Amino acid sequence: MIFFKNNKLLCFLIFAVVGAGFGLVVVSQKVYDVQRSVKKMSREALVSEWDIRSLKAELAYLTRPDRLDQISSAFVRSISPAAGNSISMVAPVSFSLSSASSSDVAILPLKKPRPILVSAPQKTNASSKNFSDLLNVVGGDE
Amino acid sequence: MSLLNRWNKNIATLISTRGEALYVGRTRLRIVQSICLLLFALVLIRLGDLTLMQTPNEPNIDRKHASVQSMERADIVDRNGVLLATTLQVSSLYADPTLIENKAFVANQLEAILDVDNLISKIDRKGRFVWIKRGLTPSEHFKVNALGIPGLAFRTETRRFYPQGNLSSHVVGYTSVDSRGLAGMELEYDDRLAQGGEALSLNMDVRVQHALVKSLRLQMDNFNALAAMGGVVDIQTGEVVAAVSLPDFDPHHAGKADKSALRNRFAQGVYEMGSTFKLFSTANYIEKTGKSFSKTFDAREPLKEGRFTINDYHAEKRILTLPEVFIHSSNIGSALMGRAIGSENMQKFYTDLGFMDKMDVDFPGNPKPLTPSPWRDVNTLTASYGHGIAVTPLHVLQAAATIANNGVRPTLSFAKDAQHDPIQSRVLSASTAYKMRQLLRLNVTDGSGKQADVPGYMVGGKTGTSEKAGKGGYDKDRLLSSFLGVFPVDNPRYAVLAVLDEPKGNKKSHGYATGGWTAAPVVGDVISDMTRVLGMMPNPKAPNLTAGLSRYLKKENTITPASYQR
Repeated sequence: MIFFKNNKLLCFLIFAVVGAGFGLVVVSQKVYDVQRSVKKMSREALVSEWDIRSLKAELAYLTRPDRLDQISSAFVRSISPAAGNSISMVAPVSFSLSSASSSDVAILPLKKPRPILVSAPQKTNASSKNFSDLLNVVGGDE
Repeated sequence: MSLLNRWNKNIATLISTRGEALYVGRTRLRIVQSICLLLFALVLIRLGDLTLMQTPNEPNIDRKHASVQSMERADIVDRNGVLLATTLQVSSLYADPTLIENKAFVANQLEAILDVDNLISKIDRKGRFVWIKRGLTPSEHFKVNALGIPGLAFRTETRRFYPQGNLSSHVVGYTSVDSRGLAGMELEYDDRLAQGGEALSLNMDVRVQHALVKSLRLQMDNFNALAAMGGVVDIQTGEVVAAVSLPDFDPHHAGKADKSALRNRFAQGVYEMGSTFKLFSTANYIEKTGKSFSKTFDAREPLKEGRFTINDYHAEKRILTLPEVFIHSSNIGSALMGRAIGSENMQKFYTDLGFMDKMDVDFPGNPKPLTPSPWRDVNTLTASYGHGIAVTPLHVLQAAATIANNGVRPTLSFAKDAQHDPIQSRVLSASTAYKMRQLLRLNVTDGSGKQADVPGYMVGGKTGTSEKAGKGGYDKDRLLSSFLGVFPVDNPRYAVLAVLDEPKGNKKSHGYATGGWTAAPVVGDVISDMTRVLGMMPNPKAPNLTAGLSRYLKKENTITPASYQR
């Protein structure tokens, strides 16, 4: 105790050095931990990147123009572009009211629209394949 | 006394010794203090350095392979970012023959799963490593793994994958097993792609590419053609928006593709293009002579030059005005124009258009055009209607873009990274270019290109039909039929070329296999699709470029289906 009382500065310095050394060890350990977790995350990111690449490739494969063309021709009624000369004059339509005589054209109620039945798309060799089928033919030779 | 003195002496000695000891002790303490202080300062400095001074990049982590993008061959995308080529991970199967006991059994098991020949000889080799199959499919991987045979193992490799398949195979190209470019953009930009990083962006638009492939394939089937090719070029920028060569191939199995399918006819094949060249010879004639549309040419008799005789395919046998020469595609009229221009002027103009040299374009394997050597007077005449000079379809598109671009030649490019020569050279005056656009439009409204018209979009164009050269001269049964379109001609934006190699006439075409019957509908269909895909609105207020030109046409000689010709 006397030693501590007589050498306050020295004791402070010793404790400070020990404390700082301990702090340094803790900090360095944390740095290693962070390094490890960053490396782990990098590896996970790399795996995810490969997954994303596969998904992007799959998306590009599924949205190929010929495939979309095939699907649209099967399920969407084709709409021709509005040509410059396609705008024609519309004459006013005259029709009779319900009180009009029977000789006049009667107003008929509109038919309830019925769903349009379309045939399933024709399967062709390349376009009907799904992505995994394609991957199954991507394999190369030795 | 003596005792006291001795005591005093001893005390004094003791005091002095204690003093010295204290002195020595204090000195040592100070030294220890200083060392501790120094150590503390060092620790403090290091702490400050670690916590405050270090940059965010620390700790020093191996970032070399932190990203797939930085370590793998770069992707290739179209102008809208649609993926054309990418690199994916695949498994490869190898064996350690020393660990395999029953080799015949293992070979049988693997043969049932893998499409590999001579497996037993591979497994029976000496050594501790032998590839069984590289690039396994996921199902093959699963099945082989399920066998659980010791001595078989997998290694992860990367493989190039082309989501668009055949659609862009001739432009994108393909790579070897070791991911080195072997054709197309893969070869042209091999070093750039091998470095990884940002995707290589092409000028191609897969939607336009698809429209062109679809139309060309349809006509190829309709007319039983050997091959077909075509392209779309942005006239103002020189960007190649679509480039097609049929038959095409699956880039994943390029090694197994037919040689004919691997040949890129659009950028690497040279052809005598026939009457589409009349666009250029007529432009040259107007530019050099300054003659107006009222200039006439005597096409009543075949033209003789030395031992050669030049005929018209569907002879009008009368005197034709300049626009009539163009829309009736008179070889005699064009040859007369060539004669009036002269060989020197013709060669210079064709050189300016790029017909005499390899194309300056970012595509590998560009051939040099086949030009007459020496160039005789008769060559000037035949070159006026596209014979005796063979160029690639890409050359023709560039020249057409020059005419449509007010006479300024654009530099064609397949990729956005292409190194452009910023200086564009003027080849033709704007007034001559305008007249040519009038003639192109006239040919669609009143000439052989009617089937290329798309209402509302002011399509202009020129048909071409040439006989292919054989062993005994030109063969009338082997044609190269083409149509070169420009739209909208009032403000040109795109040039479209369609070519069919050896089409055969059918019932619908009355037996004709000429450019007007075979290739013009392709261009019409492609333009129609492009307007929808690119959102181009029709322009009902577009100026009528052909107004007033009817006075140069003889009314009774309207184009009939039978004369959809050269």
